[in-house]
Amino acid sequence: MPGRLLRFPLKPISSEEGVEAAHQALATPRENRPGHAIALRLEEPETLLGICGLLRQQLETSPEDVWREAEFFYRFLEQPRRSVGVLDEREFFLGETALIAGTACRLLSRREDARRWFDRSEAWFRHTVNSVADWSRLSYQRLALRVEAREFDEVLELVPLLIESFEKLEMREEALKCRFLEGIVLMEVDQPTRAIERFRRIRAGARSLGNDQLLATALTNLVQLHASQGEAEEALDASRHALLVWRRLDNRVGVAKIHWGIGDLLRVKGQPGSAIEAYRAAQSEFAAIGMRGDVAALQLVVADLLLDLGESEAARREVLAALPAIEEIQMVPEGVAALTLLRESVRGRGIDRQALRELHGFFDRPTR
Amino acid sequence: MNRRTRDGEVDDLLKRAMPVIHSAFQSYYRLTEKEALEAEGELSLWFHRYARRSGIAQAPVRSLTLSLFLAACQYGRSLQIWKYEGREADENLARALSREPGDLASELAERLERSS
Repeated sequence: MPGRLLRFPLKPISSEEGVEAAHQALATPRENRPGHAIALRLEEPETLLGICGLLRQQLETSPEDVWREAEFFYRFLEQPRRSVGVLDEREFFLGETALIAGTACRLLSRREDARRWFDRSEAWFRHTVNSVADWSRLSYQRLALRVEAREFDEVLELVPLLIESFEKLEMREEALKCRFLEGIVLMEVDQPTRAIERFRRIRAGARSLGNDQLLATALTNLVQLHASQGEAEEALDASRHALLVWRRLDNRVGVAKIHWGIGDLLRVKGQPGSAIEAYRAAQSEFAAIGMRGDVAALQLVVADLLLDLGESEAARREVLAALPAIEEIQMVPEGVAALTLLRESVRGRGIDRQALRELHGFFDRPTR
Repeated sequence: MNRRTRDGEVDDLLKRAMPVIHSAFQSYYRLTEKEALEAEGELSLWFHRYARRSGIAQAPVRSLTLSLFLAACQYGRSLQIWKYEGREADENLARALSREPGDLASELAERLERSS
């Protein structure tokens, strides 16, 4: 029943206690939390700040869990209306949990869900003290979603405006993240030289800010770019650095993408068997964390290579295994057309190679 | 930047901004001394948390000055609007309450800038 809960004020907790409470809250099964909300300090802004931080850290490695958790906290704060902190804190945490849920949905290729969460986030961020900063972070996620929908012209037009906004706010890391989107679009529109130059600048920027996450992401994209150009030495050099940083960050998605990049390199170098091994390593990492879109993309890439090796039955099995996940993902119209052609050709037991390549082209995405 | 250094910078900004905020609470929004002190305590806790929000946590503390003053003005204004609900405030207070908190916040930020 909708309503407003009023409680006797409790003594505020410290930030260290908030982090501890956040761990405890996340370790408690979701269905048990509302009944223990006071003991778990779920309405404490310090706890919520800790929870948001922990969920953000797990976005790339456990997007499915993060989505469920962010949704739980969003619903918990929304109804019945709860008093959280002072000033804009309730609105901030509602906007933030919606933004985290939307980001997780984007990573899971659930674009319609992502859009709905971003709309919720926007509505709550309208009431925060620094709504410009909050909306700018939301705009970044929306642009990333546009990259995935292949709306490249719009992204290239809007990214500079967003960078300007972040620079005015002195949010340099966020501005650097926007430059990633530019680099990714350049990769997608097949301008590898410009993309390499962009990612080298991002790498330098990330080093100067001391941001390992951005550094490793830039290196991962450099691996993929150099690999696609057959520049083995540069690709391997970047992959060594990237693996070190991803392992330090315990980031499985990053490790998977390096395997993917090495697979690309081996494919370009004419070693399909070894390339398949590298792709399989990437696939098992993605599968373990529920990134179905990436698993399916790699199944299509592997199918393509198996066809090169004359193993058409194995290729067919790969495509059939990929189709259910691909069909769940909202695709751009060209992707839907390629999917239809591929589905029909597989039913006829002869894979349409052109459709297969077009389709994995829609998935074969760089690191964001 | 490590957490302790950032907390120190947040404390430093609060220490410099609080006299300006106190003066605005009392002379502009007409909070009592007790209300002003309570508001400052809550504002201080809020600002420490605000400075650790996602995205904001990497921005320099000095760039958060305007947000601090804006939050203070929203607090003072909301409190008086709530207190005076259904009653008529005098002309000066009514003028203060009808003004956008963002305008006053900008003035306060400039005042702090001039005094440093």
